[in-house]
Amino acid sequence: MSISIRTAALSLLASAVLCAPSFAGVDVLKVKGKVLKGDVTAYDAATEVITFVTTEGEELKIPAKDLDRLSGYKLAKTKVDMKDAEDLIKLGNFARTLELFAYAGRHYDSALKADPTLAATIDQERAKNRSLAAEYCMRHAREAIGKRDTKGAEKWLTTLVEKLPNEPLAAEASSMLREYYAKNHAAKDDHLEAKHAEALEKELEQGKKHYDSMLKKIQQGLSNTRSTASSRRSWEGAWRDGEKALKELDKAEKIDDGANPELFKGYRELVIEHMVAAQLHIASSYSTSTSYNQARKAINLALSVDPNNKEALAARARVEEAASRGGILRWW
Amino acid sequence: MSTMKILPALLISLLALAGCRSDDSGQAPEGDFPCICGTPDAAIKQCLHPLCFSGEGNHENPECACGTLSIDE
Repeated sequence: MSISIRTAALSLLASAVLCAPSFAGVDVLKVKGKVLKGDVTAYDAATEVITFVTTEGEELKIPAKDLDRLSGYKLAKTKVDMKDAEDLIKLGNFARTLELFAYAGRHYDSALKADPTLAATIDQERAKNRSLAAEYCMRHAREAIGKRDTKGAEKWLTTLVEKLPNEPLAAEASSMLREYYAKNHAAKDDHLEAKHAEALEKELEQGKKHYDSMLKKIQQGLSNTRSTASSRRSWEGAWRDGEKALKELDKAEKIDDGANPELFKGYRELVIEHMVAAQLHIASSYSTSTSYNQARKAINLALSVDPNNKEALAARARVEEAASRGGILRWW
Repeated sequence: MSTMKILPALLISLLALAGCRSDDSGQAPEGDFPCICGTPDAAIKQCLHPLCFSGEGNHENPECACGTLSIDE
């Protein structure tokens, strides 16, 4: 734990109000990198020492400053009054210091609910949270680029563009995405093109055109920094191209009569993968602007072509959770 | 106990449970989500593991930041 984090944690603990624990069971602590399982039986606020009984029955006295950062955060939460807005802001700031931006955002949400008169202060803290989160995304994107991990780079750049579109770094991320999206996605059907060149030209020429157009429109949506509405139109166009590509695949597969099953299976999977991606981009854009019903519609469309898609199911869960928090509250 | 007596008791128990949750709590999502606490993704996205989502925290993952400690005070 760095000195600044430790100071923030201890300052928070010192000012915290005791809150009754919510859950019983085995506690897991990380102390100087070592994992300990057992029960925290006491915490002495004066000396900032935890009494911990391991599952083997050994009693340990652990100074709070020796806890690893996430265990320190759990301890801080234990000692905070979750109904006190000022405590919740401090807890949010502590989470932000630990680079737990989503967690920080939820504490700011709770603080605003607890005391709406602190809205201006909370907005300032949220702005810092967004700025640091954008730096965090860009740092991870650059690390991925350094490791030649183009998929990782695309993931972090996309997160920055979609979740933090108004941050200054989003424009740079958008520009970088042009390169990485093209690299990652244009190559996805290379093996099919190489192996089935003749059949592709004879039977699937039109379907391939729709597929290529779909990729281009998804990329356009991600690279557009001027307007989210324009980005959504690009992704909606990509979805329609996907539908056309699927129709062409159905027609061509009948004519092919089982001669190239791998070709059709491969392209169908790729088309569906990108149709889902297009709707998830739309959903993310809507949820960023708290239009949760529109986000739900987009996710349901994604699930209509791939009902078990894990990303779509996760997106649905996040949208439901965000909507249940009051509709206007969001960390970004 | 008749159904008429069980239902109010059940409702009171549920309300009491809801009151004990931390501010991480939410309705558990449908689906099988792994615990992502401790990964870079968790910084930006909420962990959807059922124990994390409920606010309890995943005791199997020492990097889990959800939930609180159960100090018996």
